[in-house]
Amino acid sequence: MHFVNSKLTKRFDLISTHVILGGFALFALFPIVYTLMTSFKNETEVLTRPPTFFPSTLVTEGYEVVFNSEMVRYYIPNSIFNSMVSSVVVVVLASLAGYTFTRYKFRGSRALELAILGLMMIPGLTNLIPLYRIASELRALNSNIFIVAVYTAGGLPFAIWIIRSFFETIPIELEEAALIDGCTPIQALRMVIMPLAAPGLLAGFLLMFVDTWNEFLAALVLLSGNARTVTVGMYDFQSSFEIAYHVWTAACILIMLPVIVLFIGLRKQFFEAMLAGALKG
Amino acid sequence: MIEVTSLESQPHIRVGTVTPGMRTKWFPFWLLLPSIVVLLALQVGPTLYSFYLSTTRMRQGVVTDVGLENYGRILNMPSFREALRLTLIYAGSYVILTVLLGLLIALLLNRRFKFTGIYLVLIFFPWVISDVVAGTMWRWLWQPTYGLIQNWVTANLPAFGEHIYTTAGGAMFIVVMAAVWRGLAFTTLVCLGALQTVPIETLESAALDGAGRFRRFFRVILPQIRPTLMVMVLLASIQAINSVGLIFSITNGGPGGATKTAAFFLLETGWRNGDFGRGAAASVILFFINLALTLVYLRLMGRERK
Amino acid sequence: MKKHTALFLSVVLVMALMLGALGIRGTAAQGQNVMVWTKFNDQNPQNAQDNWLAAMLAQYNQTGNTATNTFQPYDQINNKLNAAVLAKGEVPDVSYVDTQYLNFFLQNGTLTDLTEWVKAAPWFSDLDPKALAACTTPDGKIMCVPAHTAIMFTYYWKDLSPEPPKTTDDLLALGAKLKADNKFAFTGKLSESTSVERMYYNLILSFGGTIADENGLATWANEGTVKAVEWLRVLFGEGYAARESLAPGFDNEQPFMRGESATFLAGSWSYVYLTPLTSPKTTVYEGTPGDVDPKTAGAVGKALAGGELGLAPPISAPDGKPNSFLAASAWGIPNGAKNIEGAKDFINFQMETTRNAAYSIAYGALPAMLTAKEAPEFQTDYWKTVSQYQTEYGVNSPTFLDYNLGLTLLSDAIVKLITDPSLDIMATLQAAQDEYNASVE
Repeated sequence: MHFVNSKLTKRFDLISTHVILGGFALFALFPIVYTLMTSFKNETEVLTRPPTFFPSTLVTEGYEVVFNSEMVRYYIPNSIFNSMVSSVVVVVLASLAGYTFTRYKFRGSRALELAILGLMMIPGLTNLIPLYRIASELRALNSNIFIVAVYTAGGLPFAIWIIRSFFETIPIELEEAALIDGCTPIQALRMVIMPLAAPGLLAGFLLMFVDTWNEFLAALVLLSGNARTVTVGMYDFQSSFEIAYHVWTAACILIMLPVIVLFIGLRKQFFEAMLAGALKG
Repeated sequence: MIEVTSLESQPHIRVGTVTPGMRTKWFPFWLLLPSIVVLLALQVGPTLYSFYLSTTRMRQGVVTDVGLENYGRILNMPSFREALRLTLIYAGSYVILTVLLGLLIALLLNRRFKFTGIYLVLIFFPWVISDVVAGTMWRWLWQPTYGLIQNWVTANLPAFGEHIYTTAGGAMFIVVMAAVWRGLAFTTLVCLGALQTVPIETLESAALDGAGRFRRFFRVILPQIRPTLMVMVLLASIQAINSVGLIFSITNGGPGGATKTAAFFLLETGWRNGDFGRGAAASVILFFINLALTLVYLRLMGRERK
Repeated sequence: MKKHTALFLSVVLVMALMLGALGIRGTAAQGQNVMVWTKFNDQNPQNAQDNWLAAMLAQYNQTGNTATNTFQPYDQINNKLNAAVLAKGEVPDVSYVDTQYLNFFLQNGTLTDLTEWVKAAPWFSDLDPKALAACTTPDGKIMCVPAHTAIMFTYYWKDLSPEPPKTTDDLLALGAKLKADNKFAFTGKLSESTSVERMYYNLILSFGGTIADENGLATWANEGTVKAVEWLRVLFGEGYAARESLAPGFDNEQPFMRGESATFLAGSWSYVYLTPLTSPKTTVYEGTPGDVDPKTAGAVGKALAGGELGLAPPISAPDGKPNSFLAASAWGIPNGAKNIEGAKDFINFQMETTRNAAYSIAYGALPAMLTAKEAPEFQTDYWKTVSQYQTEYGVNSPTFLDYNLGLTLLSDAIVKLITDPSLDIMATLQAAQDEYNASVE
């Protein structure tokens, strides 16, 4: 792949690649690691001048505070529920839609497809105030179910796009063979397409889960009290009078943990799908 | 992602394929119905409602129709125009930095040396971290007195100032930096995906023709990945224009409104100040900005194809 | 039908989501329960205010009626209440309100008029006139029931400033003296819209300026404001003030809590939060969690008793009078509340001498009831000083029609002028003033 003129160039390339990429990796990890360090400091050590990087002794006070707060009792479970349900629903709906768009052509199908993709251009912000009013009318403020529906609608266009692109890489011949063998279309979808599409669906699931987990504005506007999610809970943590960076950072670590674990678990399928299918369309 | 182009030429679709199971004409419609229902109810409906709200004003619980007055007022507000200017700065620097750096990383990854795969995973960590958490972390690093980076800068690079976080330009810099930190992963992945579509044979023959590294990049690689880069620029712009989470958690619009982008203005007006009409008008303006960007993009793509 | 199963299921799922959302409607209105919004958290108490609420609700629930609190963050509660009323959404039966929002609530029709009921209430004659005034509109309507009033003033470390720093000149002299030791003369919350209430408004008044007129329009582009801004520019330009003052949130408390700033722009409630305190002599004062008496429990009270900490009037212009923004925390009944009788019962329950005193001391403000003000816990030096400052320096809150917008525009303009010394002061203030006035027209 690389066209080397000499051993020297190759060596230089190798080293410079590692140095530059290593630099970016450091940039990516540094705030996270420092946050982790801060979360194990005590209140006085957090605020020293000049600041230290490593905690002198490991203190779990920050975590104790977070564990005894709504963060662990309500916000994290809420976020898990919201993200899980909306991601699963989105992946199911988007694979039905993506399947349809790649396998059927009917009058207006292309227009419909473009229209759905066009919805991606509507900023989530635009709908915020109307959604608040709709939720009010339905008495669905502070309802996890309503916000799951909102997230589902919000994530669907992008998920359809990703999953549709991935379906396109699966040859239609396989399916035709299944149909000729007497499968119904749903059976063909389930038995033939789905296994092949699994990485794409998992990638869609991860994308959706991460987006929902991190969503802030809709949650800020539509939820209050114990229905709040981790991001809004975090924001309120900050805007409350107490200044306690060791507690905030402990909350940060706890909030990022589930998504990081999920990402590490699904990274293979995610990169495979994004690089092989989804990104090439 | 990507390839709106492929919509133009869907190669796998066999129009009018008729097989035993597909006898019902309405079958595809049923498959799409759930998506359509959800999108109509919670995307299209609210957007139309937003258009309606933007023509109303509410006082003491009484709604009055004010036509386009809200738009006129907002567009005449210096702080909204300032917000648009700041949006341009924020989104512009975000897009340029994420796309260029993402491309750089992708090119390096695409050299496919051993063990570079791990970098991609590491660079992806910020992507899974939410705006508000990322904001808290960066804010902490730049805290004027106890912040690690600020202290380092004060000691080693005094020219950059002792309180970057509380100056207008500095606050914007920190917000953009945090946004790039989060956004880099995705642009890297998209670029990498695009680079992998460039056939190795083409590159090899270019190399045999004596084309140097830069020449190969600009003559062979770039034309190939251009469509993908353009979609990416579009998506990144729209994302930057519409996001406020980082600004909320790092600066809350400050100092002195130096990081109040149009999206922040929308939220402050429509939500914090309870002025639904003007907030909706601001959101409709944002919507049209997004639409305009998309149209420009489609136009460029169209020209490219000719 | 079989082949449609998966599809059918997904349609059902979507419908279930929609219906589920609708289903919540049924559970919202229930019985005699009073729905309360406060900025305190009874579920997970973090400080004296939260503890007070939890204890009070427990008491109230023994009266036969019940009340449930929804915690709303302090910087969102007034606006969320207004948004909920405007959207005809789920409004509480009774809510904590800040009286500086009175005009804003009036304009939006957020609160119900309580005039008749308040005037007939048994506790009416016991209300402090200043507190009642904070809940009264210019045309005499009473829109809320005041619980207590708070004011701003100065805490200072005697070790860094032997004399109480009173004027802007004092602070500059102090700053020049302390700079060599890498210490600050001033720290306090000068960012975000609340900075106007805490500092800018009071300072501008003492320089002879105004910020709003009786019609609710802005008037801040005047000589008084210019002088105030010029002083602020010197304060920050010379590095006499801790830069955290301009950052969002409450980082500004740290330099004072660590003995690195001579003065702190305090509220009467600040002792609730400032713990532990490390004095410039590195004595550490620890607050006792749960105890609310500033003299016995708070770190501030212990530092005062230890003779290291002092109280001073709000900073004023050298030839001007100190001023302190006076606002009340109050109970309001929003339009659209369902259980109005329950709400009134809940308020009546609060408006009783010992309960009013307990709420006030937990919050850190002077009780709105005259009899509660006589309670022993308010006879300490701390509260006597606060009471004296309130009588002498208390001024009514600014009369902006669109309260948030006025505060935001003024605060942004001043902070912009501080952080960018090249901007013309008058032109910047004028532009912000014009924008506000054009907007509320």
